[in-house]
Amino acid sequence: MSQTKVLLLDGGMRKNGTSSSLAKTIKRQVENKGQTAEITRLVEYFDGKHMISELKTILNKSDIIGIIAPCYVNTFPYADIWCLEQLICGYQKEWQGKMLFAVAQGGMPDLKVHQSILHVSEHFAEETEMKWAGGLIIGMAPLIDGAPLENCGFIGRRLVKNMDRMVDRLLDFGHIPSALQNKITIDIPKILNYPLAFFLNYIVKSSLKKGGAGDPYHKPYCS
Amino acid sequence: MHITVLDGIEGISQLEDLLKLTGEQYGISYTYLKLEKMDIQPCRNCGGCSTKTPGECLFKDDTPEVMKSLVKSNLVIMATPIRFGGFNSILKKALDKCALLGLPFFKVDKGSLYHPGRYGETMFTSLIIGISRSHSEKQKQSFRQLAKQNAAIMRVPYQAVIVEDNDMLQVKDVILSLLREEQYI
Repeated sequence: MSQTKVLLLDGGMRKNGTSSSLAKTIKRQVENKGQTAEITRLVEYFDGKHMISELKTILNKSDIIGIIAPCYVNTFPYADIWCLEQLICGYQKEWQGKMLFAVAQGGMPDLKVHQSILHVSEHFAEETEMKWAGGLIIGMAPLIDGAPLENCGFIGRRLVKNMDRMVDRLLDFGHIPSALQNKITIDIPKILNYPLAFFLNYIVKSSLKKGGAGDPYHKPYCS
Repeated sequence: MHITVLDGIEGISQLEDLLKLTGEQYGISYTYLKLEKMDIQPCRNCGGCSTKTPGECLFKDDTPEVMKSLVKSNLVIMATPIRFGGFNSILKKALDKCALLGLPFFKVDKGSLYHPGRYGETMFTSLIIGISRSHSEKQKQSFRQLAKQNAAIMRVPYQAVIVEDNDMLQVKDVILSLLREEQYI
């Protein structure tokens, strides 16, 4: 029996950022189940390090494609959208019937603000006649900040466990169940957003101090 | 009264002519930015705009031109073809840089987290125009949701309109009615 080939498109801008960490976990989980997985970084196609034609070739050889991307201003970063546009320019019938899933990650705990990544991926699947397998949204991603999920305590362990279930479903060519989203979602009562903001501001202030920035309230574009 | 137009439409767009006519007729100043022709580098999430040069991108490109216009605007018009139920890359390259308009800190309003504005709260009204070429209702719905989330994160009042096949007459009507609503004309 031939192996299932999974292609993971890392949409992160940082080489070792959170998208990369999530992609590495999925790759490991696929390989542990005896199948093959490959990660490729979309920004490297944008930067001209690789040709889009090379990406199309890898896509042709894959059975399941996953996009793992950060949320910038509510949706995919510019470079990722550019790559999707380039891919659709040379839309190939070979992609018909392949499975596409997405994992979105962003800073805000409210998952609605990251929803567009799944919508865009779903419409991309429709336009390329791929089979949309659904996806997951991970909020409060700065708590991971590129670290291996296994090192992220309770949050990381919960993600690893449920992403493994996601991989099981994908390798069975099934749709990612919405119950998995509920399992990875940390439902914070709104009142706890006040101490959370305090905690996040503490992290921001520490990094500002470390970076040696001047006035964080500087308004460079005021006339 | 100042309008900034972030034109993400690929190729020829009649938006500039439309703005010129409206501006002249009602004495409104405007900055028209044809994003396709601008050098705006992607946000690399390096954090430099918070930790090294607050409010400024470390990469030197045309971003300052966009920001200078946005901070003095009462109305920002963004135009894009609907792309997979969202914005195209040309508009998105400018939108990603709008993170420069926010502070790195977090605040809570009505129980939700947000980044306060670097230049004050509710800077401008936003008009987001999606050009549809017979897109499905589902894609249009996704576009509207994204526009809503985008306005919410920027904490600005907004309108999202979808026009079929670059119908500039409809765009003109929408702009004029918005200007009347806001009592600028």
